[in-house]
Amino acid sequence: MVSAVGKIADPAGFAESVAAYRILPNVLVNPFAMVLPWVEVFVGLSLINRISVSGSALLAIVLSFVFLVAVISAMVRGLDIECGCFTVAKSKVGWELIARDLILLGMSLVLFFGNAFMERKLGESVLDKPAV
Amino acid sequence: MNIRKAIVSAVLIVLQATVVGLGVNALSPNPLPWIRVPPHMTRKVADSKMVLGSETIKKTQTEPKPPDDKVDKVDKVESENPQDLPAPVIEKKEPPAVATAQKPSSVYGSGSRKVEKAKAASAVPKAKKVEALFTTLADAKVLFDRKEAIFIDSRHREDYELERIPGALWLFVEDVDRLYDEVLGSLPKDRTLITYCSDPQCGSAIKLADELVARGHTKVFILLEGLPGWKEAGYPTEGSSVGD
Repeated sequence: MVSAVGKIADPAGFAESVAAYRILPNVLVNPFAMVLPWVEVFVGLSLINRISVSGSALLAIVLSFVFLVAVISAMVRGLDIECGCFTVAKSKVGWELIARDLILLGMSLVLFFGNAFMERKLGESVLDKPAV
Repeated sequence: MNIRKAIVSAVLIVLQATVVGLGVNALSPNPLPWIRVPPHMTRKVADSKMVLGSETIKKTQTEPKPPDDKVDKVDKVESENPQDLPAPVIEKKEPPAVATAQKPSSVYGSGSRKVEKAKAASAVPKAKKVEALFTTLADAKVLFDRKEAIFIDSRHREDYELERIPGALWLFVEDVDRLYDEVLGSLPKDRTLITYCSDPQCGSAIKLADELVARGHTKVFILLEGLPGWKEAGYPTEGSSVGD
């Protein structure tokens, strides 16, 4: 959610950051930049409010994995670009970013599989709020 | 594990986020267009006469120019008489502030008031957006050789220190407010400045050039090919990675 604030505040800057990775075609860059920050917000809100934890955790895994692949691919191609992460243009693509994405991916995996494990053991999710 | 349930709720979250994201963009005062047009395709390359001036052109007519195949992909700003050239920036008219006021009158009789408002709105001077132009590698090299331009590196500090165009100043685009006075504050506004970054798609050189134009600089250009093009052409660089 924190990372989404800067992107929502500066959508044009975020779109440029997305374009700089040279992964998406130009037709998809702006729609992606419009939607992705809100996906992050909704995932964060769902996790905080313990609503649809399994779905949010799954999305968090997908997002972290996509970010990780994008950063590694940028580094392999030798692109000297901004990461477009928390603030739109302050941090660079590099090992620090890969480490951060790996931590986020690990946390998302623990959340998803931990929740699934408890759900199997107890018959219901311990993280999801009980239905009233 | 109920993977189907997880996938369904993930898809629902994405759908909700899509609706909100597109809605917020539609309601935004500066919405993103649906399709992105890269900045290097929307603005022009300044003509050599505009960049170098007539005297410099005469001096350099016999000098060989490096290959410059990328220039053909974008339009050039042509000018017959270099003496009459305007400042090398494009002025773009912003859309009218009150767009709805220019529509024809309504059937309920308030049209005349609307027309008056429209006339009043059109009488107010419209804000103009200024844009710096691109310059080619060849023209930039001529200015570099004659020490007639100041090159400004808009990349991160560590990249600047690793390798840069010799003599280039560092002005990170995100810190321009803080660094401007220190780096360029004492410079005459008509001094030729050439900004560069990694390549035409990096965007920060374009953003920096527009910032400088907005601060009153009249001769600001963007190096179309960026530092990689400069290096590919075999032009000199300095910095810690090339042994200064």
